[in-house]
Amino acid sequence: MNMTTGNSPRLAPAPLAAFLALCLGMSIPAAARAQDRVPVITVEELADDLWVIRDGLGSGNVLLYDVAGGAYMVDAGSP
Amino acid sequence: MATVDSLAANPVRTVISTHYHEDHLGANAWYALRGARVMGHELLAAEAMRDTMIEEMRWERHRANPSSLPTVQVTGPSLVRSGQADGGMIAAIQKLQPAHSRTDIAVLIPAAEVLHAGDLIEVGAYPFIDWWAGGSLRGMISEVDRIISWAQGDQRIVPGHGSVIGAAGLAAYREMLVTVRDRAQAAIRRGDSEQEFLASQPTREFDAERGGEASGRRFASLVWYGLSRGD
Repeated sequence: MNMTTGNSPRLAPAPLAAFLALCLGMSIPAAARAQDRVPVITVEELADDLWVIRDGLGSGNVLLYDVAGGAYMVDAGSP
Repeated sequence: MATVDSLAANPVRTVISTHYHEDHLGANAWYALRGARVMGHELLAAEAMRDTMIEEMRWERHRANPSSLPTVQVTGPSLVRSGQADGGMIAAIQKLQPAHSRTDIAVLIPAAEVLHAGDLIEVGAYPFIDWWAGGSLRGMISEVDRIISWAQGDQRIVPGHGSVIGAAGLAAYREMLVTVRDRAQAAIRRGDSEQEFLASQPTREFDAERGGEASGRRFASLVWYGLSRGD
């Protein structure tokens, strides 16, 4: 499954890292990475009940594995 | 979090953090406060709770929310089991040598042959080497080599950022790391300055797929910072 939600225009690279760092509370390194990507949320199903969730806005990739008794996440990303 | 809720039928019971950076554990508190256990490297809390200014990066590291810190410390290779009657293995956690930072772990989901490598691996951008938290380019290359030795077939690697890759993507990533390292080491041996090194465009063939020339220059400068200090 691939699902894409949300979009926003890219800004000029130079001020964007500082902007993201300031507005979203990101570290400068995370913001510097974020400026190189289009910010969209993507969900990819890797196997049954196993997904990778990417937000493209500097938050780390989330791996979600849903099993009986409780789901597991590898990295929770940013709120 | 809304996306997670829309996908999983079961509540999140376990969160495993690959390292201490806020963009990977910022939402831990939300799950922890709802009863999830949080697993992470035994050094994660120490790094996450530092409140320092990294002058070279103009990067102010703030203390993490204490509720986001691991409640289960990973001190060595660990298996996570379902807790159900069959006791099936869910995940295998491997502590890494200092690489992206000194708090890195990788998590393998054996049933799917999927490995989450955290920020040890980046796709579509250059990696960050957190020298200020014990990171090491040498360690990154060594750990990437270890993953390459495992991923010889259809295994899939989830990077910390960017799209899922396989063996070919891993090889390309390693090639980039080694090429930039070798160029930096050669420049240091010649007695070049950092400016001379950067002027040689040491990331030139990789910039197009990793965020452009400015990103390449930042990464090259980062590599120089560590290697010129003995990494």
